[in-house]
Amino acid sequence: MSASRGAIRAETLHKSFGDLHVLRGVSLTVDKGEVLVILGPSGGGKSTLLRCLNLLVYPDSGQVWVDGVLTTDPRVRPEWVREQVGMVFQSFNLFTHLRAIDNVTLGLRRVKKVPAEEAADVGTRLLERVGLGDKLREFPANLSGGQQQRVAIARTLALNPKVVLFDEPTSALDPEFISEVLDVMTSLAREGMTMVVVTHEMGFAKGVGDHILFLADGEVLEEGPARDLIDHPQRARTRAFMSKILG
Amino acid sequence: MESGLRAGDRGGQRLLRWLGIHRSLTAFVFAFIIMAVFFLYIYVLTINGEFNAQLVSDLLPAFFAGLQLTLILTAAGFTIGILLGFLTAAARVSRSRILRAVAKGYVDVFRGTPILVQILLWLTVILAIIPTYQYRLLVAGFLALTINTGAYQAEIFRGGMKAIQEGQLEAGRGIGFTRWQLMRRIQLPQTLRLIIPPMTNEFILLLKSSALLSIIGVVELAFVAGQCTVVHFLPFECWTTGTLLYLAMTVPLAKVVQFTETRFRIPGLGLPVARPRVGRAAPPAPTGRAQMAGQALTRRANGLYLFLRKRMESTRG
Repeated sequence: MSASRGAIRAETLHKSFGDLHVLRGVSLTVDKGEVLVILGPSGGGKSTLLRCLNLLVYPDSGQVWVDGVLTTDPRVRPEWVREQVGMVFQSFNLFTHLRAIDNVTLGLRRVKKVPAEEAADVGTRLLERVGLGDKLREFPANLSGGQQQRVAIARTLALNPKVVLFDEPTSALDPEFISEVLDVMTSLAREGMTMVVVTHEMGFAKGVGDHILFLADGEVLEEGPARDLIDHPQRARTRAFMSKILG
Repeated sequence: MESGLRAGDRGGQRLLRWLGIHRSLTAFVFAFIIMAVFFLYIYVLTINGEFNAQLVSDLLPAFFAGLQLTLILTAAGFTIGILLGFLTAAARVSRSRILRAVAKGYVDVFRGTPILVQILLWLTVILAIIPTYQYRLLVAGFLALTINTGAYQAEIFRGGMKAIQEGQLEAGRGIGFTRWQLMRRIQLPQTLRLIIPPMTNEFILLLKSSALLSIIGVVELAFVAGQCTVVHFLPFECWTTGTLLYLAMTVPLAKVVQFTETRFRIPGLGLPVARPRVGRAAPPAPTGRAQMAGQALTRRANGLYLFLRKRMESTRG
């Protein structure tokens, strides 16, 4: 098991919350610049798996490597890992008391210790990139869901992560705002960002995803190239899920 | 944002809104109450004979000295109480079980006993330790106030911290923040804004509680008023002066804080000062005026009840 391959790699992750065995030996590898989409029914362990990848949750057993570094080693600071592996949440989780620009630059200034002016330049550039150049000074409460999620993406990108995790980034959005977020994610993927995406947006999974991993009951039921898995799922459970979600 | 705690606030808001809508009626009722109080006062004054303004003006320096001590004791006790309250609240959410237990014990004991009893207990303790120290009464009184408000403020801090969405903390950890950075950069800036109103309430309660120090002989405002009564046999003048001086402290304070609260308000954080009438459930289909009036009355009674219960809960027992 070579640790050097892949931008992010996990090996036989197990995690329990009390009696609930949420992850039962999940492994995955995402190469640099690749987009891995994780599909599966809710309660199947998708969110927990993502959180194990940036150590927001510590797996009970198993290893995670980021860019060849074994991050589950107890000597590695979890804060450092989370700098390398950014995360975008379902409910945006912007800092209510900070304007859009400050949400983006906070990590730069306080974690990376970048001088304020330089951070502001980076923040402005990133917000322009997600199409919010005119909303720099707005508070989150005055932004739509789609705008908030784009600020959240910019906030994650500010730390220049090696991998970005997306935890159902469009599930909390009104339908009219979904596409603007997916567009940003698509362009990010095109620019070569390594991404792990939990989503139910099959169009995105098929069009942008390179690989798909189908997770149910804490286990990988099926995995493979995106198109193959969506169009020709092999297992009955996967087929049932696909037909349900594709209507 | 929606927690059980807010139910009382909503009731209060509903009451205020109702008062706003029925402005003329409200004005009438208030005018009536004020007039009633005023006439009662005049009545007492006539029994009392004339108001001895000369005495009041002679004693004003003494009253001001008492007021000064009241303010100093309250302000100093409150300030140290902030530190105590913050540390206790932090201990209550810490990883150490011992710290959590100690903090909870502290809060339970000092919120669960009358402050009068606490004052007397501190006096006993202090008299045992430093029986001849010149400022022993002051020390006992100051300790009682500080330790008491610390327990209350701990709960205010804890509530304010709990009001921050878990997701924001997760996002903070997600960008590589340590526990301390989370507290300093995400929790505290929001918590401090949220707790301005309950902290003001606590300050005013503490200021009023400081009057209890008069029973152990601390020469604060209430003590001065009491002495004035005993020495000059003019309780009406003495207590009127005391009352007005207390009001002179509390009323402007509430105003200043209201301004501060508005000044530091952030969209989406805490309750709006005034909310337009939107987002309310559509009224039921009109089935008759009497029934609608009945429903409206129920709603108002409900709102008033919650409002009053909240107020009662926030005053100390």
